[in-house]
Amino acid sequence: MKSNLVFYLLSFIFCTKAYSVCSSKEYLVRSHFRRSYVKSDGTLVRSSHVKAYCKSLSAGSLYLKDRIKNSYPPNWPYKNEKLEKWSEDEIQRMIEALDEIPETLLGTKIKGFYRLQKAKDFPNPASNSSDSIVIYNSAFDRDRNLSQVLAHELSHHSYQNLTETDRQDYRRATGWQMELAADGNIYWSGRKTGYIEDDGANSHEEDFSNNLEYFLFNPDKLRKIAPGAYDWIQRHYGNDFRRKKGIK
Amino acid sequence: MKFYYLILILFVHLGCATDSSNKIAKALVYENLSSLSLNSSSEKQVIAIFGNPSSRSLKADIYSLNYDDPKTGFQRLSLNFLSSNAVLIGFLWIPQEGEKEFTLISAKSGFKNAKFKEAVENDSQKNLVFYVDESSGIRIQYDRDRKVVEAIAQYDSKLRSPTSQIKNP
Repeated sequence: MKSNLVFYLLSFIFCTKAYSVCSSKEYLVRSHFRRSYVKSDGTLVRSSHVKAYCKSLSAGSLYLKDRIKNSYPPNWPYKNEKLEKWSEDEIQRMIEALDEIPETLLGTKIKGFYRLQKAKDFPNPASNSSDSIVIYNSAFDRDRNLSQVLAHELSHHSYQNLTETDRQDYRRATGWQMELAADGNIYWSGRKTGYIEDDGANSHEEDFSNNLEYFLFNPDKLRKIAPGAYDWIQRHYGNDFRRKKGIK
Repeated sequence: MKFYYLILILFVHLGCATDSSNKIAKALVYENLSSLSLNSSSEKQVIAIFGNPSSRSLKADIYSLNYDDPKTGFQRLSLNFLSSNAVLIGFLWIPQEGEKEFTLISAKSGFKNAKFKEAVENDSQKNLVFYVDESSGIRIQYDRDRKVVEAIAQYDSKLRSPTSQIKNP
């Protein structure tokens, strides 16, 4: 009984010390097993056991703080998608990925990043609702560019938060028109060609998110396929709107 | 003397140029739609009110006159006509920020006798809500997340029943 008490006491002291070891400009990375993955610059990170250490605070870590949620997003309609718990490994991957994304894309309206197992439209790696982003298992696949996945989801929120004038301007620049069908239905009609991803033709918001994602991760391809979108993004977000780390 | 004539011609020319562009800009206002009647107004009447369209488009047996904002190039108004008789059968108005009909209350208040029913378009765009009055064919597209009226439309509701003959684009 006594030995148990001593053990708990020592554990408490150790944990408290581990927390306090980090300075105010650092955060604690807990001991964890790191799965192998490929960084977005192409570097292979091998799997290993990572010991607890203090890491410098970054834009990504500050942004993610208090946004990691182990529950369903509010009003999430797909309850067949099972919950998953965030691991330390995944949180570190998220921070690293967010650190590559321009801070202007890290919207303040996002309340949380939620973790579910498998999307109803597998292998979709992520999804979003009005103030949430959902991350699925497949987002952490070895060769998946998590930063690119996050940039896409954050772009949806960015589009939602554009002023109506900016949205109209984007639609003008990229050839989206609203039309009235004979039966009275209103629908959007996109340009005939020039989508960086096929699903961009489904809606101007999806088109915008794809374009913004490619602007950051494959700008040359975007400039070639959708020059109107490239020019608009550059004009709207400015010349500094770039990935924080260069592509190899 | 020749110089004065030249100045006079220049004034007349500039005056006309300014007048015609203002005409287009001035005519492209939401209130002007109230002077049109579905299944009655002709293309000529529409052009008399709104001026020449920015573009025309044709789909199946319906053609549209499309008006863009002369300053911004934003889409503002589309008017649908039956190809067979060139009679107006529907319009679509896209409000801009700062305009009265940009808010839902104002947009609805423009149709005093309408009885709007709320409808959600589809699962993936739950933020989009439609306020529809079936009898008059009025349809307001509203983004409830952003609290923005995206479009106000009216179509000839009598044309709804034989939609099998009027193919959707």
